[in-house]
Amino acid sequence: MNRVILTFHSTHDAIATERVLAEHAIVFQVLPTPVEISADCGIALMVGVPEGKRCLSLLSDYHMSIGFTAAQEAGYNLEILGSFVDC
Amino acid sequence: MNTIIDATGKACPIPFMLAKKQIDAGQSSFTVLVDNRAAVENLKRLAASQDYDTTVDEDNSNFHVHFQGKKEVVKPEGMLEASAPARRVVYISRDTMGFGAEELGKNLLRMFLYTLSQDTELPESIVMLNSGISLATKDQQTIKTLQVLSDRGVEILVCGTCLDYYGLLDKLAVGSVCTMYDIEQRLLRADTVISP
Repeated sequence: MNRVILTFHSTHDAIATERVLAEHAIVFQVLPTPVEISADCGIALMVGVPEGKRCLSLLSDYHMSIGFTAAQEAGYNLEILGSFVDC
Repeated sequence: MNTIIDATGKACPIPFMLAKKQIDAGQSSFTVLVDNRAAVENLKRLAASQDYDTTVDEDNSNFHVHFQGKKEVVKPEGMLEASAPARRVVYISRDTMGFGAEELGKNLLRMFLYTLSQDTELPESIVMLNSGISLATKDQQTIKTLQVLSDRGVEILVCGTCLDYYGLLDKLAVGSVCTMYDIEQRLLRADTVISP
């Protein structure tokens, strides 16, 4: 299943984003930031692709540094498909 | 002759304790009579953990749980302990990982479980108690992760006393209700207990 992983420069940005997503009833999964994506903040959030697009517009008002990465949950493994947006 | 123990009308841990007494006495075949499904499930778990097979006969609202000890398996010499996988138990007694900021601790625990669910090596059991039971009742993220672990064969045990105390018995979304006897047994028989 295709997914979008949101990564952050700071833990506080990650937690602030969790609150925004919860307020907008966007379902997400907290996971450790996969090392192949980023060595920044250790907390990443994973959402579905449509939700990822929604996050992009929602979070643009918050002036946070957020990375968006495409991934695939294949069986019990997370396969990173590559970063497609970095804002 | 098959020993029959009548544990109908007995409160929660009593049927379990009566059966355990028979096992400890080396009784290889006996039957426990109980009157509720929760007791049947507890007895089945006890049997599995003690190398007994069970069959259950239902008669009106009574259940006859037959215990039959498995025959000793003769192992070839030199293949004894070395090949047995380590028994790892993950013991979660609160809803955060570490002490300090609560929102951070909750996320750390979610991250731990998510990583565990993707690992090639898995624990035998995950035991949750006290505020740790919220992982199997309230937190949609950890419920999903625990379900993956359960699907992969990890035994998920949630403290029944704690579910009752927090009024969450009907909210259990993953795993099975267990008693302190189950918890004590898992911890005692584990080679490694991991307490995140």
